[in-house]
Amino acid sequence: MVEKAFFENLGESLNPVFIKEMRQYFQNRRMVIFMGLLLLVQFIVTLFFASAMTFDADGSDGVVFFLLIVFAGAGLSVLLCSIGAEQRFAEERSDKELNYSMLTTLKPSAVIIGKLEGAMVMILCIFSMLLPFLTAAYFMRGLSAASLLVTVCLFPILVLYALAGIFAGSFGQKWVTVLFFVGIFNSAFALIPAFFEIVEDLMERGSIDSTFWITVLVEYEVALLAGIMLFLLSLAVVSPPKSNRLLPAKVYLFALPFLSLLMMIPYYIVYGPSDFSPDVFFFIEFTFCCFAAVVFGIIAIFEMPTNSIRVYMKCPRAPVGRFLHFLFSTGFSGSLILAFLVLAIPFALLPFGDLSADETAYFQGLLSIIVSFLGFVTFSLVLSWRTKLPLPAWLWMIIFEVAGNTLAWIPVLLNGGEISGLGDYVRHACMLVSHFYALVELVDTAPLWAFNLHALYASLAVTGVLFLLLLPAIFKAFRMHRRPDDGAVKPPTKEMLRK
Amino acid sequence: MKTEVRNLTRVFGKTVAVNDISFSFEDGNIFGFIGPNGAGKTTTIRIMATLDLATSGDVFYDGVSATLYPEAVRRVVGYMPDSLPGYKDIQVWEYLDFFARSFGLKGAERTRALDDIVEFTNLGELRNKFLYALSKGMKQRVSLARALIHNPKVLIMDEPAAGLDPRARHELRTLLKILADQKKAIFLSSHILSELQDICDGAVIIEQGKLLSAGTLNDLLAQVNGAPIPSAAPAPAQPQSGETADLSGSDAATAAPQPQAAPKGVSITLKTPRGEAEPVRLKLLEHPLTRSVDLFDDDEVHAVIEGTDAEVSRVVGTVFAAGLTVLSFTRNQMGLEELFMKITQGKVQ
Repeated sequence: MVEKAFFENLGESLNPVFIKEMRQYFQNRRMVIFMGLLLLVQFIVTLFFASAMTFDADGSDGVVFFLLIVFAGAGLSVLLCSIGAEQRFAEERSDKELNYSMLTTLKPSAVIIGKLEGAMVMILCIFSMLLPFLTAAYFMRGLSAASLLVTVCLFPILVLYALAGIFAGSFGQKWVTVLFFVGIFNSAFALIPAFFEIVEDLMERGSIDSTFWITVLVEYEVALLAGIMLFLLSLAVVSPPKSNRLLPAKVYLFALPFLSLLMMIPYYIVYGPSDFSPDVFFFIEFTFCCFAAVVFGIIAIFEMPTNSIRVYMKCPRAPVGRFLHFLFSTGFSGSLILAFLVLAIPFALLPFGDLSADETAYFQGLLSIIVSFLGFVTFSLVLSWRTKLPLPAWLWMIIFEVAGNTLAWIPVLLNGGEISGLGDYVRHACMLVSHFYALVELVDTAPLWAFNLHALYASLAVTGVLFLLLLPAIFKAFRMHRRPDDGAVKPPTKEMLRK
Repeated sequence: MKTEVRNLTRVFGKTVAVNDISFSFEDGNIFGFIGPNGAGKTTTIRIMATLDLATSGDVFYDGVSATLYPEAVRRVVGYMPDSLPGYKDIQVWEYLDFFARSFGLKGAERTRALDDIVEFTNLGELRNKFLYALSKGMKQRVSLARALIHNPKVLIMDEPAAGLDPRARHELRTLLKILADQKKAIFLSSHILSELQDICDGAVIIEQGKLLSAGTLNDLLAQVNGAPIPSAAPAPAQPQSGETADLSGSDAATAAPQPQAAPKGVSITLKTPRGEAEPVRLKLLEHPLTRSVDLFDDDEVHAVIEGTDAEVSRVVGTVFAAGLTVLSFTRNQMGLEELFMKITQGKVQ
């Protein structure tokens, strides 16, 4: 009786989307076939290894088998949990008439959490299907129990992939699906070998040292911070149109440089207070501030200048509250100002870092590139909102990036396709006009070391002038950003709100 | 619950899909939403169901704004779209259960709601079927059950009868009448005007996003059939800003352009002795109220007479007095379809 009541209560407390996801996952014929095939393949591979193994006391048959299963598991989790979640969600979201997030009283966060819970259960299912075979690998020798445990601990990082799938699916657009497919395959090629490498390294060393723990902990923290970011961005997409959908994402993004300080903890624990280098703080802070500024910039080009009455109704009347609400609410002005504010942190830190001249030049170079990116964003917004040309800001941004990229590759083509032969100043100029080129160059960081303050001053000056052009639009948006008289607005009655 | 659409405008780029329309209705009635394809019906309905936001104007449910409080509005509004669910991996009861949970129904309350709605929409035998395996009519029933699972006070339906066979349409009509008896307000768009005329208490007609006419069905039809319009002494006009056409009462306001009030008329078919049809035809044609006279064979005369009730009665009295055999006698009236054809021009945006 007590048990029945417990399970009933449990059933009632579960997220409706999660229940729906589970029902759909386990009733989906393709999913059942997929799971069956996974078991069958593992069984065949086990038989093959079992028949071929030497049973030598020092043998390492289990290692290869183990790695094969881990590799297959990671790959399948990526495919099933990210692409599966993306496909299902995109299908639901593309149906504009039966979009349950707009038809029911479900909160957007409940929708995303339900989707994530569903994906996590699927990861758990895949993992539990791999577990017997991983155990068999252990008995084939060559593996320590600790290495098994640590490898298993790396699996939850795959939750990030599921979140990425949910984020892409939340758009319900085919072009996002295509981009996601391209992105997922590219990143899978990057992530799985890296994952593989960690495990292989672990096998070779035969023990788990402090460096390994730092790697694992930092990976977990990065995954957690990135996961929260993806969650909040998904929330923004799923939220009702013209609501203050970007508020949580913007607050989080602004807090990210401060939250990133948590990443110093593993270093501090492992190295202790005496061997801990403060440079770690500088590097982490720098990276996260640049990342936050770029994301703010990307968000800005997709936003409108003003908000809807839904947003204005929540605006505090006090001046400080009103300004903060303006800053963090949906609207490009806030995003752009926040991008520059976040970027001011590394600028302020630069003189205080215990850095070599080369390191200083490197960070100046990186800052120049981020500032020039924000310059592109600002100019796109200027053209979109201050002129009468009927193009959205994001389209201007694409035009600029394509033009800059074309321009940047001309010297490379003239140089016979060789980047290395170009002079530093040419390479710097190319990196400032083409951020794609900058990414390619970052692989070979030599030019960044030689970056000097001139590039930083130049990019700052250009971006500053562009920002001044946008100021009237920002002021106008701020003037409009006030709470209207709500005397005529009737709030819903208790009866209406009753479930 | 009073539903009020106030100065609703929706612009997509350069297209004004809905152009400053206003009307209102109350519960316990069924209202039709009529217009040619591309008139802005679905856009209006989507805004009413909180699926879209108006460029300006708003929809109010008992004075509560759908723009500002969409979550509260969703509790009192059920929306049934023209598209239907087709999931391959979810059963009917699971689908309904999901929506019941999504509206916050818990435990016994949810079970009772599910049982009631399954019984009401006659889905008992389909409970365990997958959605994709259902026919169009069955899917419509599931869709209706889904829209009603949280017992909304207002039901908004977009083309609910589209693609249904006559039996399914009849069943739908019956269900709608029961729902109206349960004091729910039902607002539905449809192209099957003859059926709307049978079940609707009022109608809103739009074209190119603009309101053409709105009012109770009797009042709308009375305008084209020439009956006196109760309390409509001052000519009804397009509702101004902040003013809505109330469909609920008898004082319906209708929008310009107004159809010309057509005079009432009768069609009468007379039997004459063989060879005497022609003199009767000529005699009838002499009368100023006779609109047309046709001969069938040489012993049947079909005449259309138009005029006020008193005038028509006098002519018909003359016919009876002449001792002619009356085979049929029909009052000519314009229905919703004729009204629609008369006041719309078939323009799309």
